[in-house]
Amino acid sequence: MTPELQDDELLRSYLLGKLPDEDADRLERRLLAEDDLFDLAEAVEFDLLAAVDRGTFTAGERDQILRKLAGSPGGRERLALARSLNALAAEKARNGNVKPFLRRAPTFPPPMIHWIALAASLVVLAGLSWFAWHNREHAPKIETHLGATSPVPTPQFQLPTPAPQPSTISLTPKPPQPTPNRLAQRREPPPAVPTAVLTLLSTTLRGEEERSRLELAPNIRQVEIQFGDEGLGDARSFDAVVRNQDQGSVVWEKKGLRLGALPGGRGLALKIPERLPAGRYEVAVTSHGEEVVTKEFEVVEAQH
Amino acid sequence: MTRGDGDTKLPGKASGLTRESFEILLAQLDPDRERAGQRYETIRSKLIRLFEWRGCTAPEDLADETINRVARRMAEGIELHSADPYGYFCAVAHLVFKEVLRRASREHRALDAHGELLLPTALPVVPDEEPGDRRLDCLRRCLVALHADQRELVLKYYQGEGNIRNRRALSDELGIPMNALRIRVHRVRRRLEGCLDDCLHRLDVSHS
Repeated sequence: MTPELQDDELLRSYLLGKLPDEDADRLERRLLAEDDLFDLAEAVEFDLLAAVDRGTFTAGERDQILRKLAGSPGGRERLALARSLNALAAEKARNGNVKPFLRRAPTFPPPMIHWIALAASLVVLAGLSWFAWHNREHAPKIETHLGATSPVPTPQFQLPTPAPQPSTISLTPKPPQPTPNRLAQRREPPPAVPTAVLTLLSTTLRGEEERSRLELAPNIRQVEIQFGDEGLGDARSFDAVVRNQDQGSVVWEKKGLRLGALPGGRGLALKIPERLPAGRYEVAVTSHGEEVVTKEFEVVEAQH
Repeated sequence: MTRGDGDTKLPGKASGLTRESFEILLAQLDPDRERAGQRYETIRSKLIRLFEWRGCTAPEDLADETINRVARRMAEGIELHSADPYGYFCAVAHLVFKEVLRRASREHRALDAHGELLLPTALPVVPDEEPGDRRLDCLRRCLVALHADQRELVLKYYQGEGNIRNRRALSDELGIPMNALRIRVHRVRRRLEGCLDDCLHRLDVSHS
C-alpha cells in the first residue's frame, strides 16, 4: 500500500470512528503537527459528505457518515455546501461548460475487439490446418523417430500439440485407467443455473447515457452484470449495490469484490443469485466510498 | 480513548486565561509575536476540529480549555519541546476529552457492556437545495469571483458520475498525486466557504 493510500484510509477510518484509540491518538498528534495531513483530513471528510449527497453509499453507511460528520452545525453547513457544489458541477457539466474528464475511448469498443480476436484465431487455425495437410507425409516419420535410440534429425516443421508429449515412449506401467463410473463423474458438469449476462461499459462516452436493456427469457434464474476493467481505476477492492429505481429499494449488494477473468479480459462480475423482476435498476460500484461507476439498466421479460 | 457523542460541556475545571500566561504561551510558540499569534490560531482551529471529529458538541469550549491548561502549565515553568511543540497540546486535549467522557457517562448512564456511550443521535436534517436558493446563488457568485482555473478545478473535481476517474484524470493532467489534488481543491473550497459565509451574512443583514 502506498503511503498516500495509507493516509487516505487511515483518515477515513478515523473520521468514521473506526480507528483503535491508540492509533487515533497518534494520528491526532500528526494532525496537529502536519498542515498538509490536516487539510487532507478535511478534504476526505468533505468528499465523504459529497459522496453521501450523490447517493453513493448504502443506507447504513449513509446514516453512519451523517451522524459522525454532519451532526454538528459546522458539519451540516459542510453537507449543504457539498450538496450545492455537486448541484453546480452537475449543472455545468450538463450545460457543457466543463468538459468531463473521460478516459479516451478505446479504438475499438470491447465487442469489436472480441470479433477481431476471433477472426484472427480463425485465420491462424486455417493456416495451421493447411500447413498440416500440406506436410501430412512427414507426420508418420516423426512418430517413428521418436522411439529410435539413434539421434533423430530435427523435423523441419512440427505442428503444435495441445499438451506436452513425452519425447520417448515410456516403458513404465501406465496408471490404472479410470473406471467408466469415474469417467462419468469427471465428464458430468455441475448443473448450470440459467444466467443472463449484462455487460456494461465502465467508461461513459458522450451520447452513451442510454439505459441498457436486459431481456430475461423465462428459464433465467440469475443475473450477472459484468464491467470491463478499463474504467475501474487502480482500486483492488470494490463494493457494489443494485437498486430498483421503481421501488427505491436495494435488491442486492456486496462488498470486497475483486477483479477477475471475464470472457473479454479482466473485469468485475456482479453475480446476483436471483431473477430480477422487470423494472428499472441502477448499479453503483464504489471503492473506499468513492464512486467508480454508476449505470442504469432496465430488465424486461423476453417476448415469446 | 473511547469516542462517542455526549453532552460534552466543559469538564468543570475551566478558568479564564490570564494575560500573563497568554503572553508566556505566545513567547513559547514563536519568538516573533505575529507568527506566534498565527500558530496559536492554527492550533486552536485544529483542536476545535479534533474535538468535533471525536463527537463533542462544544468543541470550541474544549479547545479553549485545552489551551488554557497548557498556558497555565507554561506559566508554572513547563517548556514546550521545540521539536514537537504540538505533542503537549495533544496530550492535554486527550485528558480533557477523557474527562468529558467520564462526566458524560456519569450523567447519562447509557453505557453498554463495553463501556461505550450509547447516546441516540438524530440524523441531521439538511433541507433540499431548491433552484434559486440563496445558498446556490451565493455560491455561484463566489465561484465567479474565483480565478478561472480554480473555478474549473473545483467544478471538474465535483462532477458527478465516474468521479474517481475524473479525479484521476485531473491529477494526471496537473501532474500531481491524488492526495495533493484533494488538498489543492480543499484549499480553494475553504476560500469558497469564507466567501459563502460573507455572502449569506450580507443577505441576512439586507433582509433584516
